Amino acid sequence: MTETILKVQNLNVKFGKEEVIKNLSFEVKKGEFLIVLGPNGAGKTTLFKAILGLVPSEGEIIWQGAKIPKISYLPERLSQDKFKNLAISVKEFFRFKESSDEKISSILKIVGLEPKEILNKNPGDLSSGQFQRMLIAWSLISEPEILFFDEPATGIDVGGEETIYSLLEKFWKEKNLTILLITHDLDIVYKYATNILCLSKKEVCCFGSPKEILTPEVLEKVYGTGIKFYEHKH
Amino acid sequence: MEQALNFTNINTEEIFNFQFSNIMDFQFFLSLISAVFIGGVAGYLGSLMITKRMGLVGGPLGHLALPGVALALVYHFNVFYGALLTIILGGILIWLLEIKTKAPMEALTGLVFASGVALGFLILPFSEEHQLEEALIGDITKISFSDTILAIILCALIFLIIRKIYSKLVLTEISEDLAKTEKIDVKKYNFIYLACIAVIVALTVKLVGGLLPVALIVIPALTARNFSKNSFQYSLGALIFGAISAILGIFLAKFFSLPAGLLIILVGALIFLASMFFKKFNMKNKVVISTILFIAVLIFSFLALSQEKNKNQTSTDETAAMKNEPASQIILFYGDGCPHCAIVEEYIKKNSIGDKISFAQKEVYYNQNNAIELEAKAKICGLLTDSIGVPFLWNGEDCLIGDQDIINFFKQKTNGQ
Repeated sequence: MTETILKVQNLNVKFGKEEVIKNLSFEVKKGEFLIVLGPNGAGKTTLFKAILGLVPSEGEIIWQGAKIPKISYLPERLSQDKFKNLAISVKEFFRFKESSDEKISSILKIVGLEPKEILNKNPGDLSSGQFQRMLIAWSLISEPEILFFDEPATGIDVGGEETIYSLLEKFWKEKNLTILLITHDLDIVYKYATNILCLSKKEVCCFGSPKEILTPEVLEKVYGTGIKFYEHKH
Repeated sequence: MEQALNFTNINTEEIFNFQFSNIMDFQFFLSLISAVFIGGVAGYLGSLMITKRMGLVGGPLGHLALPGVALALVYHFNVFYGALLTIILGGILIWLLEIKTKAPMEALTGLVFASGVALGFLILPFSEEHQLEEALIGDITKISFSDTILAIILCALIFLIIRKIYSKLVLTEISEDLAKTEKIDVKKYNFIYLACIAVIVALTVKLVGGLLPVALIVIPALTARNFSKNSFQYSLGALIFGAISAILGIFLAKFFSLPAGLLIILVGALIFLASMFFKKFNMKNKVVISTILFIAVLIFSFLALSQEKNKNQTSTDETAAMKNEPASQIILFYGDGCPHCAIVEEYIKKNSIGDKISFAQKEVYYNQNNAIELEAKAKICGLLTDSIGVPFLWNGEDCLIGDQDIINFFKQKTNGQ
């Protein structure tokens, strides 16, 4: 459990002259549920993209182990409207990654969708909750070792959000996944995170366990003044 | 019984006629086959282009082909190579200008393709009416055997390539980041895709000219959208509708002697309108309707074909009759683009010879049937095949070669009247 899977050292990302990420270093251990926190524009999404090689960066991104682990990435705001403009069915969307119909059906069932009902539909015609579940199924079908999820529950009502995160937690526990997740929802952070990385525009970075990070002092530094967080007493 | 009787009485005359009508059919077959391949694959690629919101690109690209087409027509080489050459050159020019000036791509495209159109018109003199028409709206009816083979091979190749990269490009359209994390080399596939577009547009130029390639790319896919629920049905539908429009357009063009490219496009547009109406029905009805539509197309094609056969029959009968009494007809053989022919042509126009004497004008560079006829006439005059040149006039019993002789002949004839 304590084996390091990813090491980021002195990571710098620039868009033109603007420095989005400056000298960032952290480690991810195998089986961690790491949540990336921070206000808008702090570079959370950019950090994911830099690690995945989607934007140019300086510094070191080291994948520990014999080979690069199998990665799944769910980008932020993958628009349902985009699908509406395409002639494509849910089944075909899964075909990008998996050719076996049985596997597609079984993963859809696992995330709580009825395959018969949705396989021939356009993803754009699903409800937003169904759509988000479908995306999670899509990222899980290739049996990844490490997941990068960028706000997977945006635009979903509270109940739906809850199920999505509990789904993620279930997979995390069952398959010994490593999850990196961006979210704004401090509730979720407290409930699931094993580790927290916070980014801030004011160059305050913090990295540690929820107990260390989720204090009013640290949060104020990250988000600015006015944020309050009340620890749940269970 | 009667037919059987005729069959036993075959003479040499009939064998000649049979071959002649065969050549007619063969030329028609060539244009049909190449149109089906080009129309089908253009539709297939079009479905992907619409998915990637690039449908309109076919417009400017087609216009970019115009100067190349003009060069090809003036110097008598395959229109496809000319079109492909200037499309690629134009594309590179737009790309370079974008790097240099950082101006918006669409504005630069406007600059380059408008210059292309202007250049095309300059190269093609306005007097050569037919050439201008061919450059603008295409002409598939005279496609040669080797060009047909080239079109078939390129279409098949592009179909296979696009089929291979289709789903990858769709995923790229959904999210480029997703595609990249799935280890898809987006740049490479985009490049292959653009190269395929250039080749297909260059091929469609032969069919519909430099003005209209966008229609072959956009219309079949739009029609297919109305019938399809997924990407497979959509892309296959676009292929089929492209091919059907091509078949119907070619038959109609033969039937009414109108430009094939224009009819293919209009037929495609009509099918699209019909498909909007059918969109309302549920899936079961759609299958029935598509089947009916398909059968209707087949029946129509057979009808048109049999009509065409009859027409050929009568026309070969006519030529047979003509052969029996060859004296009356005056025929002027000419070649498109031959300068001496142009001199004769000008004389005919100036003195409105056409109103005073009845005679036929037959083009021999592109039209093989006419060329064969020319050879036959030359043989009657005892001329060797390699000494034949145009302009060439058959006055019913003698052969005249060269602009001066022919103009003198017309002078005598008109003075005599």
